[in-house]
Amino acid sequence: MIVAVALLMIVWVGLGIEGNELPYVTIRELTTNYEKKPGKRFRLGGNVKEGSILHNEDDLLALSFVLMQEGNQLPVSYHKIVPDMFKDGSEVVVEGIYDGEYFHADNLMTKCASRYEGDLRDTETSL
Amino acid sequence: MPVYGASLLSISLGLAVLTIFLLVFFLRRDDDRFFFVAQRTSLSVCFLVTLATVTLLASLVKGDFDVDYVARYTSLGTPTLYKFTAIWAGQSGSLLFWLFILCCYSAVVLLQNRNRHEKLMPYVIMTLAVVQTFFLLLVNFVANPFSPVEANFPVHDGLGLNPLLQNPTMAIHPPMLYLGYVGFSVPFAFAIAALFTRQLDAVWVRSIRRWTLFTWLALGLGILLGGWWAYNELGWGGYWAWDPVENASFMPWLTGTAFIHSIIIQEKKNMLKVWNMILIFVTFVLCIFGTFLTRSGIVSSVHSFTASSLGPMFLTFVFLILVVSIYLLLTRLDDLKTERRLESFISRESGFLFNNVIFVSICFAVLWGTMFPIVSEAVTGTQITVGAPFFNQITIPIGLILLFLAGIGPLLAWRRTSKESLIRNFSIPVLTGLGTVVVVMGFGVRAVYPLVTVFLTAFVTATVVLEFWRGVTVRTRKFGENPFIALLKMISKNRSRYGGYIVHMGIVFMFVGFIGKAFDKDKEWSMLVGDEVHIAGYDIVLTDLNEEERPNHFAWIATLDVVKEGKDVVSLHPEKRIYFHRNPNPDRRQPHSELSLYSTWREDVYSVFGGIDQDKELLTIKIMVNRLVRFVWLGSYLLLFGTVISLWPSRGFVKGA
Amino acid sequence: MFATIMTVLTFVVVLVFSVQPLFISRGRSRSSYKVTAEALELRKLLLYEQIKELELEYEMGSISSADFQLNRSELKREVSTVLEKMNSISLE
Repeated sequence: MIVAVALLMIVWVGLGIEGNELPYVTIRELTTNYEKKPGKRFRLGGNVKEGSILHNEDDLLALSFVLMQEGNQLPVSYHKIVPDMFKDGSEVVVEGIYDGEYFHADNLMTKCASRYEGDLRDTETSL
Repeated sequence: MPVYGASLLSISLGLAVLTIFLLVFFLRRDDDRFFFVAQRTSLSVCFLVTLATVTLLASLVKGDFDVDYVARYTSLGTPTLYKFTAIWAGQSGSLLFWLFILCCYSAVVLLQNRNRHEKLMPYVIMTLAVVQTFFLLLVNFVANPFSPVEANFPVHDGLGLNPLLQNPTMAIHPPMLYLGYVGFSVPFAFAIAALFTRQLDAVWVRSIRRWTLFTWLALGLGILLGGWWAYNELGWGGYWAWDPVENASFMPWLTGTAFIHSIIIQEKKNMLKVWNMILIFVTFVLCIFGTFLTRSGIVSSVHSFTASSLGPMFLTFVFLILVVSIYLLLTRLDDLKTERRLESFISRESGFLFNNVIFVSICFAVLWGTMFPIVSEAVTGTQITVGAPFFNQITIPIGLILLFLAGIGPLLAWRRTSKESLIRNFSIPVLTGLGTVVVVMGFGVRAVYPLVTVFLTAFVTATVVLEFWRGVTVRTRKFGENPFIALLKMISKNRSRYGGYIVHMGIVFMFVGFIGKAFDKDKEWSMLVGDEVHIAGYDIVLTDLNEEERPNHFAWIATLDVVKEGKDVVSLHPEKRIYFHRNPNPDRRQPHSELSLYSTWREDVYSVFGGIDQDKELLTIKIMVNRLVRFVWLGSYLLLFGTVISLWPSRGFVKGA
Repeated sequence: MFATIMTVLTFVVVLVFSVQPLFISRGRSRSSYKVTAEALELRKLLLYEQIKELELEYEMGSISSADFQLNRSELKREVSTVLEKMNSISLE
């Protein structure tokens, strides 16, 4: 009986994974392979290129920036409130769909800064 | 002072190892004196570790910035409370804290049982000493909280604690979780002792009943506090994200809950002995795993695994535990087997068994989803995550089955349930469930999952109310007591049973809260002062924007007037803060959105100040209408209340732990 | 200096505390009889607990007469087995 349940669970979990996979890829992999799976969501990590953050004139929510990773660049568009730590140079993770030109992100996360392993020299100037 | 602390840790390590040797000698030579000395060395370890912890706390509060840990996690400007809580802010401090709690627990267990369980106790103390030794090895050699600062310049101030962590919930959430994580060491130690001594009946299970309940409660509260913090501080509007660290705490809670239920079966019917052993091993390992996962970034980045020797050491320890546990289990398998078989699928035994199977299944699903990125990267080279959608999709249906079981448990009889019992017990709850569904459908709800959940929550509520009702009626009939007194007396005489029902009601309310998620609404806008937006029947106007300079941060404060159907509801004041705003290095300035929310039983109106374009005075605002969230918190209170009732000592004869 | 003194002091205190039992020897009766008696006593009390709970459930009307009789007779049988065992080991 336990075996039956175990098999059932494996199948159930497998089905769940099927529809919800989110591969973590590099920019190069994305641009060369995305056509094989149109509409599929991908996840990428990288840094925000200095000076590349642009806000729409009238709509503060619409922004674009350039993601840099291993020497490659990827233009990203995002239409939601950005996390607090989002700025030039910050490490980010984006999730969304690539249309060949732009990466339309529906999720944007910055590196969790909750573990502060900082440089002690900064303490001299923090006050 | 720190040097003293470090030497205390060294002595403790020596004593812990000595304790183990003394106990081994005792068991070989059968010389009582070894056991007595071992008890004392064990207590000494506890005492010294406590002293070391106090030393670290003293350094933290005093501001001994010569100590690396103090410099990293406190500063001159840190409020005193958070200087204390800094003890679990970083890796080495929190390992010491873990050890400290373990020592407190060990001392209590030792003293509580100094006149009983003679055969078990040597093994219990030995097992606890082994776990202590592991953590002592870590704090002495791998992550020593007393290490001096490595700098060739004098350090006059520390880095301070992340402002996001400086709020009261964050002062309780980690220690609560640790009380839970560490606590499962005790039932584990008793299980190992039972295997060694071949005392595999109800004795070890009964002794750890209260411990297990307490530690399970602590873990559960720790998890819920984390959810509360996430909802009230982080601003994404949710309380559970299926994040690897969250999952790491959830998994032992799941197997722990299964264990709490299955030990009841072992106590009463002498069944599931092997299963219980496996469960407690798994729970304990998951606790260690959870501690380790929280303190390293292994799931998000495999590379941080080898960054320090912490990872390999934890793995070795877990491996050793598994080897010893499995060996003991296999060599005692005959003693553990029971002749009793499951007689009927419609019995309370089978209800408990299904309950266990489900909890373990959910745990498996969560484990697989959490570890999938690592596994997929190892196998295919690409790290593939499965996010919240996966977890929700998989666990919600299984969770609903669990809810159903919680309802039918009290309605089934032991061994087998006759048809007339079934009809008598099920009719009212089923009708109540269906009735509620009809009412809810009348409000326009058509989606399947919410309706099923509504049915089940009503069903379970009805069964619980029925139990209370019947119990009170019996007492008023027999003793002529007034119903209120009857209720109190009834609960008092059956604390486990009725406490358990209250806990189940807590879970029911949480599910009610979960139903709400299907109906949440959220939207974001760019707004100027004077703009009006609409969501879920609310009209919201941005009426004001102010600035304020405060002691440790700068704040922009937005005023949002919320109106519903022409009537004023509330004024919300979400803020955008900049901490360390005067720091000349712009990278060191930390922005933070402080949300503002208005809560009712029906829904929460939740506002977030996203960002600001100062030149144009343009703000981004997000408003979420989160339905029925309050029920989740209500459920948490009931969970606490019910467990406290179950734990409350009674003057009964069978004194467990 | 302070640390060294404190460390030595602590070490000595702990040592004395731990070694004390070696000089004050106390006899302890560790017969297997006590352990078995403890276990049987516990089993008996657990069974009584269950019988009481069963009676409560029957009074409440949660279980039928048939279910009640079935479980009750089994529990009573187990109680008598335990009582027998307790008798026999105390006679040894």
